[in-house]
Amino acid sequence: MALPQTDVSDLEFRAAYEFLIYEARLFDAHQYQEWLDLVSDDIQYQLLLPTVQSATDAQARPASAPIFRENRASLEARVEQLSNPMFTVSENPPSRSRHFVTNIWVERGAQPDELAVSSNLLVYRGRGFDLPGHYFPIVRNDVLRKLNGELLLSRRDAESDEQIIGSRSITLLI
Amino acid sequence: MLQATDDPFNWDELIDEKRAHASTRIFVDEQIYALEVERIFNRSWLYLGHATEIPNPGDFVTRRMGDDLVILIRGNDGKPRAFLNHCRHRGSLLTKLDNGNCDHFVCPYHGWTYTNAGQLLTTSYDDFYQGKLDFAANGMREVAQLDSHGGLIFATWDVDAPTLSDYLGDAKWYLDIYFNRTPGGMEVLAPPQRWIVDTNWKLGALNFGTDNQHLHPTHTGPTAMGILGAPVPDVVAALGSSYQVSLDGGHGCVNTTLPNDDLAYLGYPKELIALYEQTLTPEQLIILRRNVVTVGNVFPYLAWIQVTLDTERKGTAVAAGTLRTWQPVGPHKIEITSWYLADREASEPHKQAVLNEGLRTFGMSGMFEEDDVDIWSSIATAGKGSIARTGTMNFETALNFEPVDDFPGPGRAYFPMLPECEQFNLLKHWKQVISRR
Repeated sequence: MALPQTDVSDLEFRAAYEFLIYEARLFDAHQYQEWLDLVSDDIQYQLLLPTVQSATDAQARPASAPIFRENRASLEARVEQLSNPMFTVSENPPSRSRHFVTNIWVERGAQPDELAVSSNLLVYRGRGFDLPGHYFPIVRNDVLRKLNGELLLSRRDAESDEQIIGSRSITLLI
Repeated sequence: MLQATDDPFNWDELIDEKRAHASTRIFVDEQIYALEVERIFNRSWLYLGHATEIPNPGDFVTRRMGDDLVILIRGNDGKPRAFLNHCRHRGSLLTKLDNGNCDHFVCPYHGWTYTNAGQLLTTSYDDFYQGKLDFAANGMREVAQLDSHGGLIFATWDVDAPTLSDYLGDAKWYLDIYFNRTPGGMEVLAPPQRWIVDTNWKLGALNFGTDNQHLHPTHTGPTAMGILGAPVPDVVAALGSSYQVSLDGGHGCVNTTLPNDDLAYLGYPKELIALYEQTLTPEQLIILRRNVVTVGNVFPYLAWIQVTLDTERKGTAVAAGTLRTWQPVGPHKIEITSWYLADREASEPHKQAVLNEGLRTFGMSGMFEEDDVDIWSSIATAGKGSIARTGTMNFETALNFEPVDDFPGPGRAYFPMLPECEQFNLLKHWKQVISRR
């Protein structure tokens, strides 16, 4: 069996790969303002929470209310809160976080200047008092758009694998 | 259904009404939790879901009641019912889905089959019973009573419980302002979010019913950032001029309202206001019209918050929030189940705005929510200590305030909203219920 053809160049794959890895570095260094520079003005950013689906029902059941459903303005508000220790209890002291990004797959996007990038994400969050912390298993489907030779995140459809999130909150960005 | 759990407790010592102190033990003790399941959760009317979650015959959702798993389902006759999710034969889950639609349940273990009204149709081996099996007595085990108010469906295992209407009492007056205020009523916008918080359910109940002193230390950030839809000076004025309300039955709420009508109906679209005005009473409309934030808790664990919000800071307020339960999963663990609702007559863009604002502020990763749950978790963590649990929690500000009579709604209103009057009243009610053998 042949693998599906992705039709992206090595350079494009590398650019998408480096985008995701660099983005994860910014997240774990809590450099959220810098992360906003990698995000398009028309960003659509969501984290879905699936319901348990029947294997036999033809009709798919709706997902639960999403955990994140954000645009640029609401992300800016979150970043402002995360960036100011006086504005947050749950990130003061800040969490230790680690974004593990794997299974990166890059294809051509719907538009000529877009790449469709999927990745698996395991995010650790811990703050000491809540030992042992929590790992969030997440899959992401992103659209990266080329603008002036740079890639920008223009859409992120992430989905949690947990149907009941086993932790009190996700204060971090994913 | 009552089990005879040992009750060695001196409840008057645990809830000391003279001092307005509550023992830390009531938030961490395993034996007290067992008594709560038996005497509070197995006797109270518990919120199960909204009528619009199961609009069609056969629609069902799976939920919890106390420490039991239940199915809320609309039968082919259109009637909602609730049953244990537990086969009468050998006890399997009858469904593992969160929601779905079915005409009947077939147990995957031995094939006992039930209608969506709970009746046993066949055991798959009926001949072997030689006509002696009482089919009528072997249907899915049904709650003792189920009823609804304004689309909110509740059930109880207690045959002797008062009617739902009597149980809710004056809480109906306040619930209607936020969840039953147009001819069409409300609709749930998506299946509820669920997440686990390592804390005791009463810390959620006390926060929403109703802890107003925490607003300043805990929620300064998002308030100062301007994501409340009302200007900050108006919010401050509202906080200073508002009342908390204690209702019979352990229910309570706070209605933070602007002092005048200058910003009337902030966060509500024009086309809905006409519907509110034809549905609610003039007294209810005063509260809705001036609302900045209302928070309430229906005993034991149904809570609401409705706030004027503007997370995008565009100068467009949207009144939104959540309806939720503090579902206990043990003494130190809860599964918050959070529903987002909008008026059915609202435009689709308004419904989506209500959902977005609710999620971003009081959802699982809400900008207010995440700071509350962080603190409640820390209370449970520290309170489990063997020395810590010999201590008490202080509600003494409740002692210095008496109800006032210049509030338009029913119940015992206290002014200002900041002393811990309603919180301690909730605990007094808790004591009354849990000490009843």
